[in-house]
Amino acid sequence: MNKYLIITVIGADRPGLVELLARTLVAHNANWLESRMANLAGRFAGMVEADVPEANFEPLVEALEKLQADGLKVMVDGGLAEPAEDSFREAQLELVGQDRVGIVQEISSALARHGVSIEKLHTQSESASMSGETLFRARAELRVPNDLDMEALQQSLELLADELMVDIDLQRQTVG
Amino acid sequence: MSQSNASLREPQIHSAFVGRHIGPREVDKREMLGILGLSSMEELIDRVVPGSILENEPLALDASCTEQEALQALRRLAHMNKVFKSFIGMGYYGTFTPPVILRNVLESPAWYTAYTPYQPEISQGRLEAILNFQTMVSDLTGLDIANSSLLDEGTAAAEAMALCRRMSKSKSNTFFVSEICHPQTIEVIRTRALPMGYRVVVGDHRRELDGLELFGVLLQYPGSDGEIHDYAEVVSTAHEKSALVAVAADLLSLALLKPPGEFGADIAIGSTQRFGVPMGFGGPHAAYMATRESFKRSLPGRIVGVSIDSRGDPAYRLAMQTREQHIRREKATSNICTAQVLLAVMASMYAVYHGPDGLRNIARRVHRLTTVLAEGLRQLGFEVMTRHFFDTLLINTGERTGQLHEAARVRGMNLREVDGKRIGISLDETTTIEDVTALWSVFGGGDLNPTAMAASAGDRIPAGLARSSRFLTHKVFNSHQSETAMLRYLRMLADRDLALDRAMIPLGSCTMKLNATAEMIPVTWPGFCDIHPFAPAEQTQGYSELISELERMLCAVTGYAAVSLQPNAGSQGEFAGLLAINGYHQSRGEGHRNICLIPSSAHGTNPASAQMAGMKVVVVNCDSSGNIDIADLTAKAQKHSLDLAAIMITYPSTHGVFEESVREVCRIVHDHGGQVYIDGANLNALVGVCYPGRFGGDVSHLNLHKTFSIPHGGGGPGVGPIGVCEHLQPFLPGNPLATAADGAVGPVSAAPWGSAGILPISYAYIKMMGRDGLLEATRSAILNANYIAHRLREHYPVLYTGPNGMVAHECIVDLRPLKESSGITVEDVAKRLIDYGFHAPTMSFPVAGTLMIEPTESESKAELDRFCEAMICIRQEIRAVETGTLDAEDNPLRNAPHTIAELTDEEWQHCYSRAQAVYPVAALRAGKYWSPVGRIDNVYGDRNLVCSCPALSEYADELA
Repeated sequence: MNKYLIITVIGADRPGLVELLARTLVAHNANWLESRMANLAGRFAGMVEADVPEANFEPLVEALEKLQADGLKVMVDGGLAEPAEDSFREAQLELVGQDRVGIVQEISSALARHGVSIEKLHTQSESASMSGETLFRARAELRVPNDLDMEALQQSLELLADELMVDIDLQRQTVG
Repeated sequence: MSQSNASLREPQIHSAFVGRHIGPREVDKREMLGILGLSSMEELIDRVVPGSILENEPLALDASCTEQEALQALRRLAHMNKVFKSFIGMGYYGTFTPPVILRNVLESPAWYTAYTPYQPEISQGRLEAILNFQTMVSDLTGLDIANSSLLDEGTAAAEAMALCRRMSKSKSNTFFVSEICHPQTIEVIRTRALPMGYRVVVGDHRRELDGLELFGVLLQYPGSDGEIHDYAEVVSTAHEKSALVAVAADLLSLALLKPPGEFGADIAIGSTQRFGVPMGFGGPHAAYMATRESFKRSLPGRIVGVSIDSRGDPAYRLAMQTREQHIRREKATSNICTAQVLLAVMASMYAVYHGPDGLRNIARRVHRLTTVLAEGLRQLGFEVMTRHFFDTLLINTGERTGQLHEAARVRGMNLREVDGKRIGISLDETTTIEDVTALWSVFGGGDLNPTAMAASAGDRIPAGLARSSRFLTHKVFNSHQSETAMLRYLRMLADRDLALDRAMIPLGSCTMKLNATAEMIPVTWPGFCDIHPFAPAEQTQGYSELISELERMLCAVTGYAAVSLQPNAGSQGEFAGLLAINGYHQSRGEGHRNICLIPSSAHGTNPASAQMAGMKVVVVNCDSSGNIDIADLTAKAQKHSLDLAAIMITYPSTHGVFEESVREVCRIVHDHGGQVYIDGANLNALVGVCYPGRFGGDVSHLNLHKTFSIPHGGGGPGVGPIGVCEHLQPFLPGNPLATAADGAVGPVSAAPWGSAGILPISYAYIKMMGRDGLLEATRSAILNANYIAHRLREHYPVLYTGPNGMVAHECIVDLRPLKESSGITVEDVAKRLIDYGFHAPTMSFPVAGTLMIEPTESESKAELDRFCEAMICIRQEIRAVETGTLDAEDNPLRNAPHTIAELTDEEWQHCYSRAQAVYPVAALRAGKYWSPVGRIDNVYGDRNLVCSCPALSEYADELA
């Protein structure tokens, strides 16, 4: 039986960080499933989903925590069960609007109110073509309850700002 | 030639205009070439333009002529047009442009040379004017929110159809159009519906709605035939079917009629032409659209909103740009780029000048005369078929129809040719009682007594549809009724803005060149202004010669076989060009081809146009030098070989570079059955040097408002003609008064030649420049851009260059590294340039975090140097932030632009001096543009959307 875990790492960016992490996983026969990595303001930040044979779980966690010595802060959320099929469907969300403090929090709380969870979220702020105003762009993969009124979700998001443009595309396939 | 002979005649007189149009003197050019290490203009072009496309044949155009000769030629053409009194109607009416508006808006470079107000701080004057426009439209139509503005009534109706589709909950794909809509509107709708897959049903709204499932309805109010219908029932029937209702309403009639918003319409659209904008043989005029607040995200076109500046004072900005194509590309709400701002300003000022009472009086007088005319015709034994009307009558003329038209023309009058048995007559504010008497005499009643007729003529507006609500109640519409007040208001607004009459506007991809006075003068001559677009052809010989001559000139410049001048904006040209491609594929049984390749660097209008033309956008990558990635292109062309419709490229590229591989790009696409669309936005780098029609293009649109000197007008008018190779010629846009034959393309604009009224500008430009002048303009534009790139290179990285290290006619400077090192953004630099007296270059297009600079040929070396010095001083200021000499937050860049209000504060709030804030270079002390507001708060505007004139109380706060 395998155990699932989410590993969050952060540290000053330098070559070899991903390799270090990968080596640690391989050494414990853990399987690197999916990951998101980014360099933000000179810091390397990443999230890795992995599974590991139950017997290796504790040693892996210990080994990961020791990476602190190499300048990598690691947090492990372990002991997760395999994600179950459920009554959710996947949707793509795209947003563009004026950037402002708290916009991510406002969006995520609107989503949470409708029972929507965020699978992936990519945000950026950019200088708008022509006017140069600072725009916020987000692209997210959502898990949406099957019975959710999508129009109500759209309206809740649009209420956040007059200039926020919201596109939600429902996909037919289930999360896999 | 001896001195004495030379002084009697050319060449100096004949090339005089070229020297006026082009900024740098010969001595400057030599110096600039020397700095670039070049010995001649020819060498410059050889270094910049790939040999594979460079041509050395001179343009097939005449030599340059003088300003006087060009004016004389245009005067002859204007005289060939016969100015008849127009009673044709159909959405185009006689109007008096108040002289104070004619001279101080239409003929004022402060208004006509301005750019689109993307930089709101230096655009407060025109932003206020177009906010007035929005308020005027929303008041008169009785709807919550209005845009500013659309291209013409036909395309506005098509945009209304698209809005209905987006907002209606109906699953149907049917759009119903009332048969009493203007015929040209119906045809434009058909053209636009076809690629979107909408079914258009044209019929009688009273009978043919039942049993139909539909997503929208378009009605005309009053009808094209003049009849005023009560649409309340139709609206509720449509709403029961989940369809939305758009009403094409005559704005002047709404001074007397119940507005569409009050009988439940969801959308109102129409033309504002009769608010003081000349007919101009079809345009340019501003169309309007108003709708419900809840539909604001789907409202096409620009919207001005009220926000606050850095000091909390009210200030205007363009709101909701997140809907538009430059942000949303193919997902954009619409593709309105160049609109008709100058004409919207004129229409709004007409309302400001006349005020609500003045408008009501004009409307009443027009209506009164129409009732008197109708009564006389009735007494003469003619059946007036219109029961309820505002200004238009439909008369049953039976067998006598042709004879009556003849009689009218003998008297210098045009009536509407409805069909072989009926005549239409529309009156307007220019109609006098003498005109009514003259109309009676056409119908055989020259001796009718107007006073007697008036006595028995009653009001013909249905009681239930008379307007009871007030409009234009805002102070701005009630304070400028004297000419002195109006003159000062216009001057005050103009003084707030920075247009080409003050400084260089170095906007990349926008080509803000000289709009010469000699080019502008003919635009307001009656022979060009006062011609109805559907006037009989024998009266418009001057226009037809002008148009065919201009088409020939543009063919010569582009290397294409044919040109259509109908598209009245660049975006319309793109749409028309893609329709031509669709038509061509269909004619070969390959109508399924629908993939449009678009490089990632393309302007947002390209994908938005492709979407409108029913194509699917596939993005082609660019390589690290900014060129189209040939490997990626090849792969995608191969993958979509069976479905490839077209590629849309811009040349020189939006990165400002002549791509070496352009012929290869065209070949690859052709090999896979696609057509090549070359966006002509950058044609200013090509004229006389190479020809899109010869190096691989099948179709291009040109922007006459960029390359051929039509002014930008603060965001329009524009003209976006398309040139096509011979095989696409059968698929040019059709006549708006005829239903397109099977396989042919319908009209894209309401008028046959779009914005015909401003074509004299480009005609004069080409004639006065001549074949050698145009080539010299291209060379000088390229020289100016390379000079700027050279001077700025050691201070800012220049992002893309050709293989010789040269740019085309524009250059991109990269500010992203500076943001990393100092936190100073491209926006900070743009706003700081205002303190130095400049309009910023294009921001964050095509690459976010950069500035794109296009000086054009018209800027002198002195002005280029002034600009470069400003940019270099700004770099030094950034360095001071980098080194900590200036505070990272409280510095002149972050706080720019600086206003007089801030300067005169009791306590100066910043840790740098007042002089450094406002006089960073000494020359500014001799003359300076002062920004009327501080930096505008976009987030506040977003959170507090106000799109009409702020309430009086807020004005009071502002004054306090």
